[in-house]
Amino acid sequence: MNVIDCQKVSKDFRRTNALEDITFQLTEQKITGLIGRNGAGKTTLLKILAGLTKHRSGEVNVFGKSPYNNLMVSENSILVDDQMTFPDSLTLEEVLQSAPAFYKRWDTEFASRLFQYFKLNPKQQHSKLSKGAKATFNMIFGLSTRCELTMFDEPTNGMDEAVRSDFYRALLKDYIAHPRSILISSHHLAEIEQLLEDILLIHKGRVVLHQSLDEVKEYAVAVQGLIADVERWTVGEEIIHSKRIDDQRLYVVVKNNSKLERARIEGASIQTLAASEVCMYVTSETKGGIDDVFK
Amino acid sequence: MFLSNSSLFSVVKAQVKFKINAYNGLIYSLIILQVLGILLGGNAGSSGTSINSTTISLNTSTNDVSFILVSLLAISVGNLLTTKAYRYDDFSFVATRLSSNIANFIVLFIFSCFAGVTTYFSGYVMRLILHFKSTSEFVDSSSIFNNPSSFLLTIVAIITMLWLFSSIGYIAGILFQMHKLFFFGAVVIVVMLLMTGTWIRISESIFVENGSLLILIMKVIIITILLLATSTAISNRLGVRT
Amino acid sequence: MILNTDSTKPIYVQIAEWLENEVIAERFKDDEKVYSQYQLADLFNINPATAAKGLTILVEEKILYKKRGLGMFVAPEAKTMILEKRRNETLTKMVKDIVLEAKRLSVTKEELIQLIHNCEEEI
Repeated sequence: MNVIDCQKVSKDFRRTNALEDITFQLTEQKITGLIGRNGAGKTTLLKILAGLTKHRSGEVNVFGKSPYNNLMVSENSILVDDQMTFPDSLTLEEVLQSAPAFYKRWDTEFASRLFQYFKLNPKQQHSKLSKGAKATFNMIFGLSTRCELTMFDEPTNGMDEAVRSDFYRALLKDYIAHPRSILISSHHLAEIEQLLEDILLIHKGRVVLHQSLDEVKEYAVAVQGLIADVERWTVGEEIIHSKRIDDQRLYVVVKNNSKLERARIEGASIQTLAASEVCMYVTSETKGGIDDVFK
Repeated sequence: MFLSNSSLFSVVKAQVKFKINAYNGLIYSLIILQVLGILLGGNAGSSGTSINSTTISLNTSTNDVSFILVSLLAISVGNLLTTKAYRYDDFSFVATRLSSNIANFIVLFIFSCFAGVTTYFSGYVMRLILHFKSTSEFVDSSSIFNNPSSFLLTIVAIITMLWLFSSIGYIAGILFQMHKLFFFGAVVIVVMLLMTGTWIRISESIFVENGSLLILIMKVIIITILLLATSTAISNRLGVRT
Repeated sequence: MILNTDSTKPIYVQIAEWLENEVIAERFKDDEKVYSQYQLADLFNINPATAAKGLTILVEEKILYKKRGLGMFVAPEAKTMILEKRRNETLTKMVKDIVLEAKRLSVTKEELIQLIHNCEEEI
């Protein structure tokens, strides 16, 4: 069964389209990275999936149910983001104590061990926490729910380097021990790449790529050489990005295919790209990038 | 894939427990208001006559002030529960808009019960204080001991009235959250009703033309439930963490 | 254990190579059980699916074999197979590079073969 099934989902905010046409399925128990630039619609999509906001058209199903106002979806999913709030009248300790009544799979022992490890103050209020500590607490809360669909929206914003890598490690170890579907959004793909099985790349409210990490890596390659040569090698190819290195040389990112093997034999310098580079080039607004500004 | 499937009832129960625990600080506001009510209401009205050298002064004491203050508190608590912070808190845990609203109604009812009972008894506290304070003769109104059924009915009436007030605060809050214009629209309608006197006729038919206190209580409960149902319907359109 | 994440080599290839190295060093002997995908994931801090891909490569190359419900085991002769494969692969790649370079320098096939003969004699 698909955990998430979106068909032509759209959503608009005051005349601007946040989501245009989102169609994808998420199968069980994978860690998927929701990647996209700022304003691509990542947060909006996650809020719709968590049942916090309503989409305008199309169909959204989480565990086969429309998530908006659905108790079963609310019970089995959680969205961790920096807008999570908890009552001011409760201390962090009391917030954690309240959770098992709601989340059937809540792991009290795990929550308190993480809480102690990250040295949070049990008597503090959630709203008084620093940005980093708040992110850490929300992460602990999200992991401890053990929800079948656990979603993180830019979870490491505000965390320092050490906490970040601890979080990624904790996420992975807990996932290995308790496999579940995890959707994690970030605009720093390189940072979370290792954890991911699949990548869902969205751009301007549309799904651009939804493939395994390795497929994304192999989606495009960079070809470098003399202008005439590079143009000959890449004629008829789908050019994703191109940049003049100097008067004579050109750097072009094209969709990977077997025809390029010939170019390699002719002496072309063909480089593989990191998944984060592929995502960056695929979602860039202009073919030339920032260099276009300085022309 | 393991999916848990709780009933609406059990989620509402968990939410009510959580809210009572989280919002119990409101009790302090209630206590402060009641103390204030006792102090202000301790000497509500007096009249006096003097025959020859004997002066008779009649002092009436009432806990109406307490009731008015607590009613205002009920309105503001109802309103408070609809503010963003309170609504969003629910969605950090398991909730739907329906379960949240039902839980809020129940919480308002429980608070109304508590406030109703304490307000009623604050009247007795006042009598007690007056006993020690002055040397005057007391002419008591009915009390639990000489009329238990009327006592119960009075408490129930206070509770339902408080519940009504808090639900008025609640619906006003929801309207305000929905769109500020709706709220001001509602205010305009209320003012119009007051100005044209329609309000008096409506409230007369609700509050005055009653055969007994029991009928009044029934009416208030029905109105409250209608108000809260409307709030739920409206809040179904409200997004979270937007 | 740290992987080279900047490498152009996919992570699952690096995992497969690491396992091969362990077999060559005889830390895993013939018919011995190797790490599961979850142990590898924990060890290298990677997604278990990626680790599984690394194992699958080795199963396809018959360096490992699967026992249903028990895990992956080192095939007999695995070490020889790896050594042979590496020999072939590295050598082929080097020869390819030589041929490409020769082309760039307009060295003919005959001249290249002559060069190889000369080298052999020198050594």
